Amino acid sequence: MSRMKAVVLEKSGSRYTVLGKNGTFRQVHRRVSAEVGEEIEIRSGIEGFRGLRVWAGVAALFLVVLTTIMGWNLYQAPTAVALLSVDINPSLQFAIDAQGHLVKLQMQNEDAKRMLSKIDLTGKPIAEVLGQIVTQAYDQKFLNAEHHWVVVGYSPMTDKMSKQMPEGLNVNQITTWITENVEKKGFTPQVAVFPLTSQERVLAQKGDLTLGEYALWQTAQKAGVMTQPEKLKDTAERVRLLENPQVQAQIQSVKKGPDSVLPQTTEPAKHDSGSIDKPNKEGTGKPASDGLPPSPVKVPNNPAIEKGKTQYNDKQKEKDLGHADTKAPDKAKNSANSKTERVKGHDSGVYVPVLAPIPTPQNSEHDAYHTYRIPERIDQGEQSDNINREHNENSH
Amino acid sequence: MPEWEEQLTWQRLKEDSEAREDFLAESQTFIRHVASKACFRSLEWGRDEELSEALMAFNEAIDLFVMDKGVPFLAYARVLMKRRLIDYYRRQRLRQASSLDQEDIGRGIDIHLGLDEFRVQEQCSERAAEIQQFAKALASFQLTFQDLVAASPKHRDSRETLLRAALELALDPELWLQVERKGKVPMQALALKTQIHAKVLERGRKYILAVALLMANQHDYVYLREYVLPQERGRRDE
Repeated sequence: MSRMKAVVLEKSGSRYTVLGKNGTFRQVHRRVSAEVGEEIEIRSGIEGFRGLRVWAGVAALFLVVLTTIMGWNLYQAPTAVALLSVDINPSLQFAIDAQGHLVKLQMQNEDAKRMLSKIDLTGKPIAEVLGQIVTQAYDQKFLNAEHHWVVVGYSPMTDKMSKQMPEGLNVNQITTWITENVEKKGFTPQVAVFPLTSQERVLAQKGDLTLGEYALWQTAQKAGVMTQPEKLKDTAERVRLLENPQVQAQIQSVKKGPDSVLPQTTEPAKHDSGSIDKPNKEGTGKPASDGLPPSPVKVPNNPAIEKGKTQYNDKQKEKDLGHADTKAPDKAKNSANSKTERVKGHDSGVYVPVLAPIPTPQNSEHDAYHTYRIPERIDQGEQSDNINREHNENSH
Repeated sequence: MPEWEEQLTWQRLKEDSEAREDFLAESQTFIRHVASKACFRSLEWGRDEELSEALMAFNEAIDLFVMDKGVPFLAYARVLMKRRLIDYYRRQRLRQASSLDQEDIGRGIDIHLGLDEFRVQEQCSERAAEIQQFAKALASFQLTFQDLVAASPKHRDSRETLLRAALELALDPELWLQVERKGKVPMQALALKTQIHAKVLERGRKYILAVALLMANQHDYVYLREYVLPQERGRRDE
């Protein structure tokens, strides 16, 4: 620190009042004996600046540390709390953080790499990610009338992280995210969503399977449908299992009881284990009123099935079934007035009329409709309708 | 420091008689001021011999002064003039001499004081005398050194601004006359003249007044004014 001359103006106790060469009147500590009028040398800065400098240094250091800590907390890499897989034909698996943003995307096959080669989904919300994946799959013909299944599996990274998982991450929501984008394009995929535990995730990774593949394999095993796990990589095998009545029944049983196929579900109350449909809070979760066994076939947002394999021959259906409304476009079929739907039979490959809850704009996206392959009961239903109609007319 | 001190080289002043004459003519006010203070009465040119003695002492100071010694010329000349007057009174054996510094009289004054002999101690006593006078002047404005410590600007820019304002105040005869008459700084007029905001001037009012006192009375505060003159300080800092 530079020093300057100052003249002593006054002595008071242990201090001098001085006039410095820079024109300042100051009080300085009395380090040397000086009389009034004598010139002494003082520091040109503020008296006690050394102490101030030390404090300033400490404060600066503290500030740097604080800034570093805050910066670290703000900008540290997001932690993956959950893993989610999507199997169409392209198979991919991605990690998401507690806020539901994509952290890391893993392409499981060449189709997936090709499909998402020009898209960067990192950091985007899971809803957007799933929407884009399915849209891309549809645009690139991976999803079509022939291949209309989307298998989704998800699990927390660890048991502890199950509580940190995004709140919206459940079967219903995932199904909505997947279907809503492509539905705008007039296509409704069939979605099977499997919640897994972190232990199951480890087993799936050991078996080189995606979460969805592993869950489907496990479900098939429980249902007594034997298959090789490596075959799950094949789309056709997955479709075969998904459309197998035993597997569907197993999935439904899991849906009813948590200890069936995937008993280790971490939060069975929150997740609809092994569901391949979107349960309707009001209706579809209940058993059919006529006591028929519920079908696991999912028809999200509508007569989904006819948009899959069922789309190929509407005219034939009209001829076979004689339903005038089948001429209407698909959207018309979704209308609230359409109580009767046609689905492709699981075994025979023919379309049969099925009963389904009345879709409404409010429930059409999320509701799952149980479809029944009971052609003979249609007559009963029609008879019942006729009886009801006659009864109503008589009462009027 | 007077402007001439910057413009004229001492060598020229010592060799060129015309320049010396001009310098002496310009310094008459200072000579008269110092002599009158030393004699405790008002002296007039052409009437009082003391002024002639002081003028001769001043002329001798020009010959003896060396600029590189770091001593203000006026301070050196002032001491020389005082000693010359003491010697003058001693020679005249006048009782008025007793009003001068008794210690100086007692030990016998050598009027031929060289610069080397103008030691630190004597400069200190000169400065102490100035400080005492400055303290009295401040007291007439109800100011103390403690007030100045509190009012002194800490930041360089603020200080430079207030020093500039004080210089304007000290060098403007009308404004300084108002200060001497009313004992207050004419803030509005000073703000108008310096284009410095009145609030800034008001905050530094005490400081401006004290510094202007040193600047305006250049004959009284030969030492102290060096501490507050902006140009001098700037040049020395370089």
